[in-house]
Amino acid sequence: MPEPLRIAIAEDHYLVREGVRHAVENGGLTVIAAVSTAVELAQVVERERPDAVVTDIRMPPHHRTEGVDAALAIRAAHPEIGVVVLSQHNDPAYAMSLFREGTRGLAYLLKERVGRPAQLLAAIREVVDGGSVVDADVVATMVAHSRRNADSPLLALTDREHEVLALVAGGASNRAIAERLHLSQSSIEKYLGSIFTKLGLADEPDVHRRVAAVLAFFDDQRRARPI
Amino acid sequence: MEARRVHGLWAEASVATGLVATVAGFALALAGWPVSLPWLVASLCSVVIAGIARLRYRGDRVISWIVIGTGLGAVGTGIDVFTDQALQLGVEASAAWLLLARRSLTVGVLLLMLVALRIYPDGRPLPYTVPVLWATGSLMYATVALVTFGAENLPLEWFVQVSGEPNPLHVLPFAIGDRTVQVILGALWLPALLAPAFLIVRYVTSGPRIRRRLRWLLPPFALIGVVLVVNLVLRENAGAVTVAVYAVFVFYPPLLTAAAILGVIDPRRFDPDRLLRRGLVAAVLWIVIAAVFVGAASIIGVTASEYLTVPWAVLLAVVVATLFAPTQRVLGRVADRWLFGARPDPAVAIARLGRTLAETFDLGTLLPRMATALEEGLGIAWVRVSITDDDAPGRAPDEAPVFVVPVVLDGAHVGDVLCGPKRAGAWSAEDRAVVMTFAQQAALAVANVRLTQRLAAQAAELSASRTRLVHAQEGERRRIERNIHDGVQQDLVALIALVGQFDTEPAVQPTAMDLLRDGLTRVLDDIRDLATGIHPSVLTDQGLLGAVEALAARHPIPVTVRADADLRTARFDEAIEGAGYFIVAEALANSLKHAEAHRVEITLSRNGARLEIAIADDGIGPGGDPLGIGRGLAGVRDRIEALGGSLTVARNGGGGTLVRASLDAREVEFEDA
Repeated sequence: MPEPLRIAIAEDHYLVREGVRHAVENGGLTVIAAVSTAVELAQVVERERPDAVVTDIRMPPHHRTEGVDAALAIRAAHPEIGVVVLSQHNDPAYAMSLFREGTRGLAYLLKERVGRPAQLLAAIREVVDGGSVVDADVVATMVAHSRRNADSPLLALTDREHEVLALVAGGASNRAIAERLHLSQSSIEKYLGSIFTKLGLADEPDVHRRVAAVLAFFDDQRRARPI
Repeated sequence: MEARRVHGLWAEASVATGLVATVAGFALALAGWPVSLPWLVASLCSVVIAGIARLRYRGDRVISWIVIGTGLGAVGTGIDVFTDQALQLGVEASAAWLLLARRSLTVGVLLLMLVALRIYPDGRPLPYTVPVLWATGSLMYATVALVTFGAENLPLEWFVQVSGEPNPLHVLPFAIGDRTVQVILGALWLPALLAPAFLIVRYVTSGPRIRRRLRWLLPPFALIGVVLVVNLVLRENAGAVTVAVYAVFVFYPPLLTAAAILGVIDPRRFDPDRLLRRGLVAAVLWIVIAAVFVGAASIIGVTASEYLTVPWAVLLAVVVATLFAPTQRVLGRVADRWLFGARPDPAVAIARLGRTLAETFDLGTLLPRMATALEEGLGIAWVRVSITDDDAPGRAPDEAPVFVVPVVLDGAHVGDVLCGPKRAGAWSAEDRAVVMTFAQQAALAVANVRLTQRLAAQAAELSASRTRLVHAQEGERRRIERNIHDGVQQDLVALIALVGQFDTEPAVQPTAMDLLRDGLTRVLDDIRDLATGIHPSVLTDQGLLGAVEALAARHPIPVTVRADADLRTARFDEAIEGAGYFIVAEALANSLKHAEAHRVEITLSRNGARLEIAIADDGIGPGGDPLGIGRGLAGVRDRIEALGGSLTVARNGGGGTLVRASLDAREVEFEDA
């Protein structure tokens, strides 16, 4: 049996920190450290080299975006360490700020995922493998926002294609999508081809690159145009 | 103008006639005619003509009657000359008729004078005087007739040294002796006392302005009265007094003539009363004062010379004279003041105006006060200060102004100071300078008043805005409280109740857990929305552009956002970003609630140091509420204006609503860890 994954947790709210610890430990993983500031997290990561980090965004001293900055720093210095960011913000802008350097090994989850430990653990495993996860609710928000534009290519997608797209944006592999939708993988691949053509995106082989492309597409939809 | 030209013609005619007559008269005098003849003719023609002209065209009956009376009086004097001649030549019949003519004329002159005095000086007649004059006139003429036709000898005045010669006109059955005739003739002139009587009654029953005009007339008439009484009493011994009175009488008519003529030429420019006052009585008073002064000095000198040597006496006289000089000046000033009233002093007028300016902030009150200050200060007939925007008229002029000064404020012509003629004298350079100073003061006053009004309006608006802000804050708090109370609190209570079920049912049902989880998640979302409504974290963390993009993305109808590229990373002051965010939020809400729009376009741009935000929709437009007061934009407007920005709501080119906000936006350094 492989060694249980070693996880570091950064969360300044005591109850939430303990909740995450329980969810992770109940899943069979080991929590090697649970800190409350980004500075402490950086020190722990340097010292202990965990397999993955689960971190909040708002932490002392400024309670702004310390978690995102820490995640990006960890990814840059230690590409083998996955980071799961637990966020209170449902706003896609925060997810995009996390993924601005790339999506590999990064996950953006809403904090309430703590209530569904299975999803948290799945995300941890995904980023350890170098994949990406975007919380389904956040993806749903992104899709919903983009759909309102009259000239959005999304309007050309069928409902089924929307489902597939949402799962792609969430970071699922083709197999995971096929399982989820109870379809064959080849059907999924067909759908994907159609989707990417309609959206004008290149089909990326890597899951995380695909996620990046789709996220970039959504972000572009919501961005301000130059004057 | 027409009247003026006619006046001018009459004046020219009268002066020309007078001159021609004088020259002709002198020529005749050289040929042996009596010297008083040219004087008579000149006075007759020019004076009477002038008087009639004035009566006709100016309707100034007082002066007109005086002038006519003077002219006729001159005729009487001329007739006296002929009478003298006739007496010398021994032609008693002619002399008698001439005497009758002259006496009748002189009675007529007196009556004319009384008529003039009755309405002197302003045309208001003294009451009850008409019957008095009729009675007097009838009595006097009867007396003249009595004397003429009833005197035994030629009826001559006591001062005419002629031996009694039989009266050729003696037709009445009885005869009146010389002595009696003289008494009657003396008493004939008693009604002349009516003249000072009229004046005294007028003086007593009038106000100070009329009294001032009467003063100069009183001394001569008093003198006349005194002289007549003295005549009656002293007769042969009253020589010195009579000489003095005759001196007055000699100067009096020519001055009247000159004044009347000048008055006809330009009645507005020249008030004959003034000339008479100045010329005649002032001179007399000065002579009196000088005489007193000289007399006093010489008396002392003469007295002193009895005890001192001549040089010392002269020195003493000079010293005394020098000491008297200030007294003379004081007496002169007193006389001047008494005659002419206090002379207007421009410096006093300006000082008074300064006080007025400091106390008045209402143009409607200030402008008339300025006009009055000028009128009183410089002795101008009328002044009107008019400012084009807020015209506060003084006495409306019925003629063109003599002097106009524009009121200039910051290079703009805002009004005029219009002045009529001066009451006395002509416009001097000093007067003009004073009026121009006043005009500048008027400009300052106008600026002051406008500034005060603007400040007051601004202060009122500021106060109202502050009140609105406070109310908006309170309203916002209540809204939040309501949301928390009715929404989130209720949900949590429901979930607690759900948990309570677990007490009774220890075995936890998966569905119950799911319900709990979902319920709590919902509460979490609600609180998230609440927090976003108060102050969205994306605004703090990502800046204005990110927050606006989030707003746009969440909006039910499609919203396009356009922005300057550098706004992606630009951060501004908290209050600015907050105001900008909420103006967009409010405008978007309106596009949904009121405007029935289908598309919205938001533009964020930098314009120098200002941040411009524009929200345009394709809905039904702002309607009759351009300020957006009824649409919740009022609160945001107050916030924006408190930050020195501006907010406008207008109709879009395509028919919808366009909300524009402009904020002073200096970038700030975003504090990082």
